[in-house]
Amino acid sequence: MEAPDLISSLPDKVLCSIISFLPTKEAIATSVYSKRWRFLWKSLSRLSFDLSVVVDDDGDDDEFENHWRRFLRLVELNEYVLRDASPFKGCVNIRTLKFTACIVSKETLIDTLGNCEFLKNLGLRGYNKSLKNLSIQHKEHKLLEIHYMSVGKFYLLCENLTKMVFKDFSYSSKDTHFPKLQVLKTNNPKLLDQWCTSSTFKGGHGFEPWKQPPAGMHIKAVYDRLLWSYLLEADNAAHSKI
Amino acid sequence: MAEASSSITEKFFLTLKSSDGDEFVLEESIAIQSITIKNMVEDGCSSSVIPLSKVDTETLIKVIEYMKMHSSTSSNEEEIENFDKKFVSNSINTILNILEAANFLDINNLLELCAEAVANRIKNKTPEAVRKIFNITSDFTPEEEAEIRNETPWAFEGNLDHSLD
Repeated sequence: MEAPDLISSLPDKVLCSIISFLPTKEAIATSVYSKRWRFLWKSLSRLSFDLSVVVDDDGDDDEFENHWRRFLRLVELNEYVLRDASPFKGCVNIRTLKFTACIVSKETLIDTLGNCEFLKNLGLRGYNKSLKNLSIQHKEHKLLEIHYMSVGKFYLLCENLTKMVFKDFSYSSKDTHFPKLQVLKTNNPKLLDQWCTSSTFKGGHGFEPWKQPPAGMHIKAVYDRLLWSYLLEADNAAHSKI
Repeated sequence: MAEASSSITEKFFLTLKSSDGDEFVLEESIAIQSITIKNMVEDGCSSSVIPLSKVDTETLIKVIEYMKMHSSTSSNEEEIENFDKKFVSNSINTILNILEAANFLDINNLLELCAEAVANRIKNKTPEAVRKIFNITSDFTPEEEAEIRNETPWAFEGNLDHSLD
């Protein structure tokens, strides 16, 4: 008697979990096992790929690379040294980019953001503890999260940015423009003071140039609930006036 | 406060029953690593025996071993790491059974551990070798298979391992 096929009788969720541990190339190759496996890889929420392949840009127009780059929507890099922005060439559909404990120079970050034309979310965590200057410029970018970082000059030029979350983030000076910002969350009271009094907060969308946190202790309430977080939020009343 | 101190001094036990009818008594604090069991406890359905009709005795013993080792009170990190390494060296069929049980019991860490172990058996293998290792029968016609390979030919290139190890 033939041995039972134990693996193919597992639920989709479990098979996808298995496939998600394979490099992308091999995840796609599972489609040929049987009809049960044909489309499983397409429902993966995450594909892992071998960055050594990606970063070794030897000038060849590799069909594989070009193929997957166009489909990437979310990229997370962990503990990685990114020497230049070449891995992001052609990654036009990336919406979310997260760097955790990565080493990326100011110039490489600028080039990377330039490649990701439709980026919506950018997250930097413990990235370059010693980075001198951080420069973020993007036309589409909406959400910015920065955790555990300390930089010199902080440039930020994002016309469509609506939300910023800064946890354990500090800088020595800044040059910023974000006319559509609606929410700022931070655990750094100093930062909060600076942004609140700054005229950069005066935008075209209903922001008062806050001299102090808005009345009603809105900030304190949120601080208590989330323990680490101060929150400044444009209330609806302020919006409806415009 | 009163509640907190009583939960430290008093231990609750649950009885799990495998599909073969064997019963296992386990501390509640260990068993609730399974979200399925945790939900039953919270809904008050755990006063008598909890029947696990989809988990056989051999598999349940392994799952309980895992939960005991991973319960926060008794093990240090190195012990857990060594245990996990040894755990995934179980036969592939045992791992697949545990995977199914981990999914049913909703123990995410165990599911991930076993899923990765299975993926490691697939890695670098030709599709033919994978089919043999897992007894997968291809229900594609040769033409259909050629068509799939042709869609993403680069996914089937490279130095792959034909062995069944």
